Amino acid sequence: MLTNIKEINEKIQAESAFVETIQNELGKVIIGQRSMLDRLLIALLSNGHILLEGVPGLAKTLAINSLASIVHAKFSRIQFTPDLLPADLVGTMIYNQRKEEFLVRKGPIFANFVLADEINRAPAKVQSALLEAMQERQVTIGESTFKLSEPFLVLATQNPVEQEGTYPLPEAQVDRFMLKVVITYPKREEEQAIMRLNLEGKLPEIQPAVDPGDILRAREILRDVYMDEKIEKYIIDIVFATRYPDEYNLAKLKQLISYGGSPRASINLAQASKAYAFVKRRGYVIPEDVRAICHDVMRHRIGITYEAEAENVTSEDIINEILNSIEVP
Amino acid sequence: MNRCYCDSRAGYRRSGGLIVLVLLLSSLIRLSASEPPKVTARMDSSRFQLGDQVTLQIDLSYPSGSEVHWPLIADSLPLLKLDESMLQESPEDVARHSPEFAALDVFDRSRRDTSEQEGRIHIQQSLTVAMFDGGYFGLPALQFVVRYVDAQQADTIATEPLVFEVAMEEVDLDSDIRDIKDPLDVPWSIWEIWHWIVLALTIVAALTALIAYWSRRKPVEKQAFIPRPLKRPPHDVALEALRALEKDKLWQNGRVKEYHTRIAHIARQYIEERFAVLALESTTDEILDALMRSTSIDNSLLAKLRQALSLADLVKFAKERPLPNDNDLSIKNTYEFVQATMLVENEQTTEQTEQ
Repeated sequence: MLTNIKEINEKIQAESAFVETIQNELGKVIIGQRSMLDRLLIALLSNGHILLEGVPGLAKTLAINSLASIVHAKFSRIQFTPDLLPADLVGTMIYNQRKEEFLVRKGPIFANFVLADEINRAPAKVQSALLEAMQERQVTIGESTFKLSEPFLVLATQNPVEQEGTYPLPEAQVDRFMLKVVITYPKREEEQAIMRLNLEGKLPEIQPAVDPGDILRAREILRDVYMDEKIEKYIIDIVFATRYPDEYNLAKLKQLISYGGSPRASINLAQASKAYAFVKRRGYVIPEDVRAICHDVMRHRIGITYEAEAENVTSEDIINEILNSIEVP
Repeated sequence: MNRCYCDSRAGYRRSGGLIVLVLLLSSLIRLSASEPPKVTARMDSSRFQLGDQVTLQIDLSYPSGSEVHWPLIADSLPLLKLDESMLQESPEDVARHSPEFAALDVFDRSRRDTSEQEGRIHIQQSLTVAMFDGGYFGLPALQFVVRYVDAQQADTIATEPLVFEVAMEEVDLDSDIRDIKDPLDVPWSIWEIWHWIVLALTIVAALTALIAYWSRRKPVEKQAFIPRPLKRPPHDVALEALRALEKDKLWQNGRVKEYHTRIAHIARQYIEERFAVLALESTTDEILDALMRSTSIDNSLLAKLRQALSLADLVKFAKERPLPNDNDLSIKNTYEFVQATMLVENEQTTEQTEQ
């Protein structure tokens, strides 16, 4: 493990070239949504998964599809529907009459990049199967257990509208997503560029420029990114403030928060901060990294009360309040 | 022996006859001439006005050692109402008339006054009586039972019957009709109003005590106005802290991280109080961005602040070991930023006035 910041910086400079490649290639087909693309990279580098929330037509599928194309990795898309079964996701055993034996037919989850589209439209058993695979990074079919190939990134989407007939993800399962990214509409000039790009009839071709090995190597380097104890304490303060707001002079938040972030929140915030520093080509984490990624790590890990809902207070507001109250190291 | 009542206005002369008549009517009366026990009853007057209060005096004397049963005297004594014509009739004739009964009201009675003298016991009692009916009335004899201890026998003695006249005010029918007379003033006694006097005295005493308490109570001391200590101007605090930091010679002693941490904290605290920017809760970039947007601080000053804060970040978060010159530069830049942006007294006053 490298301890010299200069060495880490040099290593990062050398090994992070693919980041710019990915950003450039994705930028060819996706106009704007820079934040979403950065978060995709962060999740990819941190070995996490992303829950994307946004209205239809915001290039969610295109982004993950394009990322898979750039990385030269296997991509699969699963449209979650109410009649989907776990076997449709992970695979099943099929009886081969000629060989008189059961053969394993792997499901679409056996890919490097999996797009679980509208995850909240499938019943809980299918969601559980996906989330278990996300966590364990292996799938058991019959008596055989299969490891999922690396890198393995699940990008699940859910639509904030049309909630009728959906199965909202339980808090425990939402917690397994490293980031929850909320995608908003593009700006005027971005939307004009999107319109022009689509009117041309053919999207620019994306070249596979990154090898999955580059990602795995980057993950190794990510471990060496230096995080000072002050930053660690800052992260702990943020997470603890969601659990015990009155200890941080935030007593007014106590009645708005039903549950705070889990230890997984601290771990993911630290990992995501490191990845963010890596994306910024830095070998150490600064408070800006933590603050930049904090909303995406924390927003699905803070439960809000009925009082908060009645007052139109969202988890975003709570995070803002916490960030504006805790002293930056 | 026959007697008659000749004239109502000369009743006194005929009282002897009347007594005989009453004696005849009261068959229970027994005269005893030889006995030592003796009882008498007499009134103040045998003629009085309707409603007048008169005294009926009862005197009893009997030998010592004997017992006397005093008759029960209730609120009134029974009377016989006599017609004027009855005064001229024989007692037998009077008895045949079956005269009406009346009542002599007893208003008050004294305690029985008992004394013993020469082997005899004397008992006296006064009754205050009044009559509210006009005419002639006869008071029957009052009977007393005497039990002789030596003789082991009892005897009954009685008072003499009394006859009296109750006169009514004559009404002159020819005179004018006049209004009813006002009630007579009844003389009052202090004992009738003693409870009111006690109550009044109690109230007066309570009021006096209350007034005395209020007048002796210590007046509440008015709280003296204590002016709040004036808040020190932020630049004053920052410059003092920077001077203290210099004096501590931290980086010279190898405590570089602590040195830069304190520089960054002093600068942030100053910015927070001087420019009302949430500097302590913001990152370096956020602070500089806020200062650029909300103030007109010269870019060269902001560059000096950036140098100090960025170097502090590098030392704090990236294990940076700055050169001695850089260490000095950080504190020098912070000094310059504070001194260039501090509010002097006049400016402060002007700003407050404008606000």
